[in-house]
Amino acid sequence: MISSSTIQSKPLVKVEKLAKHFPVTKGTIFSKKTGILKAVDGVSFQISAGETLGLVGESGCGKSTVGRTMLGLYQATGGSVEIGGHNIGSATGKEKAIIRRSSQMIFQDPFSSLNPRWSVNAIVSEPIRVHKIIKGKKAREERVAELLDLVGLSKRYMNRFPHEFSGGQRQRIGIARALASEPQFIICDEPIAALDVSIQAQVVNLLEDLQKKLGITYLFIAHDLSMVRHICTRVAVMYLGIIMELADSDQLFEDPRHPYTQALLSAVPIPDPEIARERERIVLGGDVPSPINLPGGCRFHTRCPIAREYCSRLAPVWRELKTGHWVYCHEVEPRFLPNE
Amino acid sequence: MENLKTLLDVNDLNVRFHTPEGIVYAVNGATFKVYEGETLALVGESGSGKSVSMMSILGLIPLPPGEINGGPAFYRNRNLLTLPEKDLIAVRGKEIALIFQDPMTSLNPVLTMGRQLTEAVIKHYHVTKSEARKKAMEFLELVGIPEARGRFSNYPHQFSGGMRQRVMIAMMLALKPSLLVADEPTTALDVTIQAKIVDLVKDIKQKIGMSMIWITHDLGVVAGLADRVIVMYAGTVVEEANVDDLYKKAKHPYTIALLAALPMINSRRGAERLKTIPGSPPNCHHLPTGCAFAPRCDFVQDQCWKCIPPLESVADDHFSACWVDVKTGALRS
Repeated sequence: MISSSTIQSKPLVKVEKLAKHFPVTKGTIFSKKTGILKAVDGVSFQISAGETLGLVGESGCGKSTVGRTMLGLYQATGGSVEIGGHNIGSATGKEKAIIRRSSQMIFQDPFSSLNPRWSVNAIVSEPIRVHKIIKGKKAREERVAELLDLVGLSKRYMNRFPHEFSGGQRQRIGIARALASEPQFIICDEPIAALDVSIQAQVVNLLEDLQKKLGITYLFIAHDLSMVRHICTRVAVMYLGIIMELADSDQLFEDPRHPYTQALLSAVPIPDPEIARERERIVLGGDVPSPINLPGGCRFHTRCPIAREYCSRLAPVWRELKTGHWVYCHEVEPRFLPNE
Repeated sequence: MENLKTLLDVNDLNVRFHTPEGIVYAVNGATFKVYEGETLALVGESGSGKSVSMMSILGLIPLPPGEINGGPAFYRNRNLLTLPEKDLIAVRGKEIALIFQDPMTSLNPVLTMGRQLTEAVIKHYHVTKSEARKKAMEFLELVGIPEARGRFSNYPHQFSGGMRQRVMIAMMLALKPSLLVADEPTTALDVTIQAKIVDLVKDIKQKIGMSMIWITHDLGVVAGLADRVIVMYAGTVVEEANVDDLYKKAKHPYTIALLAALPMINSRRGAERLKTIPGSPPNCHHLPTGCAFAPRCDFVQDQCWKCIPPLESVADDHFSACWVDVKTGALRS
């Protein structure tokens, strides 16, 4: 297992001030732009080879959009993404093919992410065909059998169709498909959220085993914080399109510094009645503001328990508290106020 | 538990569905009680029959394709399973209220929130429209909806998920039920909102002194909420205990495995591999002849394949349906 302190290698993934804004339109034929939804509004992070970065936050915070924009499924509005030395935004032709081969995605819903009319063989072998990794039908089938074995499915299932499988098995097919192009980097977008509790652990263990065996780097997007703590080396907490705090996993869970992280962690249910009774919760007032009409200054100030008057005017600086522990807040000690 | 009054008493409930693919055995001999003033959690994975068992008691299962056998299911000395529809309507809502997982689909999208709320109030209190409005407004304030007056003319889509669930709770409050059945009410919500809804429901339960059945798959929420827990698997109750005993001294192999499969947010990363339960939940078309959990069980014995274990007392107020004593791994005497 790679511990966070030993990761000094060059980062495999570099995300710099990434932004994705969606236009909000009114009308269908003569549609008029009426606003901008800032789903992702400038996030920066790096992922070293072989580590797992967790990206957490509540629904609508933009975590999935980050993942999709990183792989070019959405065109970025601003900023840059570099995977294995290739810039996604400026890549052309051949370079794009390399990036697509080396980075893959596992989706949340194993029901809608597999083509119901394709056999398992067709689904898993598609990346092999597209990227011309193995020539010849027979050889490809052998590779598919190998991949199915890797994810814990029998090769007898090769000619079956998605509807014949349970949710957990389908997720395994999705993982086999992602592995088919021999990627270095996989984005897991809520890979276990749709699964039963007893199946979640199976899939998480599989992802961990694959990382050990193949040295894959993960971006693990999730809202289940207990699972994130279990699987991730480092964790980034998002709120309204911005990363609020980023730190080593144990550090973040044991000593959260940002008031939002503190509130979020205190709300996670703990399956232990004794702890649950004694625990004190930090309750945030109000609802999450609309990303179409963001509050000025720090976007968390409307719900922040320690907000000061200037927080509604001044946007905080993304700063490093100590090695590897980043935070987006004026008030976290040592305090830091940008000039007005 | 002897000194507590029983509110709901369900005996040997069986529910099956006739489908083109064959018969689905959804609930198979579920037996449980709800006492006055308590919060009972009904825990299980999808398809374990936790929702269907409550729905069938309240007459919310279409028959056919559904078929209900067994019983009786007494609510205050009335057998709900044989009650005529007319009387059941009077029980539903006024005495036993329901809130569902998805507050979007349980609200009418083309009626204003105010209209839907006052409808509930008028129906159950027999008051005039303006009185109903006043009362509804009070309920909205009670569940923590700011500017209740202004939100009255809003439609469901103008509310967030947490707010919609609050409105559902406000409607339920209007009925002042003796028993609230909450079917995965916070599953679709974020953790911070979930925590608020749980607090709200706990608070209201205290105020109006009702009992509650909380149906969920989330063992984390249950720990901070329930007095007693019932674990269901393949349509039967496999374990029943008070909340502390269930988490600390679980007796059934399924409960033990389920608890071990949960990652703990307060334990360090990578410390150990998550324990898994091999295989997948049973196919309710073809249940095994013996214990339904046998194919996935660590403690399985010959007898488990042959006959279904009954729910038996294993300690004070603690019941488990298993042939094996998990402490020794041998058959229970």
